[in-house]
Amino acid sequence: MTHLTLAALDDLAIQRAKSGDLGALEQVYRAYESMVYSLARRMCRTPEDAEEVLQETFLEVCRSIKRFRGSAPGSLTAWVKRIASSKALIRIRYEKYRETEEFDEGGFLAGRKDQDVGVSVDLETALEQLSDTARAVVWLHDVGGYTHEEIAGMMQKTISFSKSQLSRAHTRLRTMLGEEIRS
Amino acid sequence: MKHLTMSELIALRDNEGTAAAREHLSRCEMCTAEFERLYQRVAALKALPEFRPARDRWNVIRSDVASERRRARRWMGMSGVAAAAVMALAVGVSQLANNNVQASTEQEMADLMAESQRLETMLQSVGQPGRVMNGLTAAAIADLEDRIAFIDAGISEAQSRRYGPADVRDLWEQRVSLMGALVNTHVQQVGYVGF
Repeated sequence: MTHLTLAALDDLAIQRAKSGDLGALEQVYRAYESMVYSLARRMCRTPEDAEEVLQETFLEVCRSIKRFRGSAPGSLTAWVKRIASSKALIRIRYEKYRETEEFDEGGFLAGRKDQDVGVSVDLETALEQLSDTARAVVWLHDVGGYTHEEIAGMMQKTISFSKSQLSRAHTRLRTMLGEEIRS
Repeated sequence: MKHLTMSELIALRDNEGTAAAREHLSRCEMCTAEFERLYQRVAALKALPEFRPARDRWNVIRSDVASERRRARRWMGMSGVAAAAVMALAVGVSQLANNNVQASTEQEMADLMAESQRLETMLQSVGQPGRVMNGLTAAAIADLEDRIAFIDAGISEAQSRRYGPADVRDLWEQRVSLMGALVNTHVQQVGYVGF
């Protein structure tokens, strides 16, 4: 399998993909496969969910690329990332781990309280300990660069909800990472 | 002294903090350290390694897209029959009006649509899904299907933008030609497997 970089995805390939050429669509897939899968893995709980998000994202890309108005790889990246984020959020909303979504109601130590205090873990593990919603907000805001307004729109929640999730998630990450807590 | 909350620190990082919070940050060592930790944590998040899926999903995606296109093409073929009937009626009326040139184009288009539908019917009888075929044939079929889907998109656009009958007729002509090639490829494959 050839792993194409974004550099290999030129304007011509994008135009061909927009015309429905499956060879060019495969180029788009190869260029963004890791980016989409990584985003999905960070936001969803299991690799299987992430694979589903990957597949759903590119099915949507293949169906809708005709309507994509840009032509440069940069704007295509943002477009693909947006679809992937939406698909991951839909996945999170309906997945079977919904019972862990008590983060908002139960305070930031709800859920896996026993693992939070006095235990220093690496960032990867700490991220996994967050609720699906909190992890999604952290990833979309801090790594994806989305604003609270955009996240609220994607999640069909308020801006305050997004801000509150991010703040609580950082408080919890700081605790789990064993960083000093102020008195 | 009341220190900044995590929300206030995040707001400052996002350039949304209040003047009072910024002022506090400039003179409080603890909050400055906390602010720095926040930056470091976000930098560490961004530096986490990328994942790669365990399985290549492209073949599944490609297959789904091809199926969707086949369904769309069948639908296009069926709408073609209805359009052909309407067109034939229109042709009859226009012939009565002695508009020979346009009638001729419309008649050709009606014939092409009918031929396209006949080929769709043939394809359904020979192009059974799941039939064993070699890689070259499968690639040729996929290519023809892609080109037909592209033409179908062109026909839709031409109809929605009310292109002239001659332009639409040319597209139908290309569609019939590609459909013929697709049916032939399937027929040859059936003959080869039967042999």
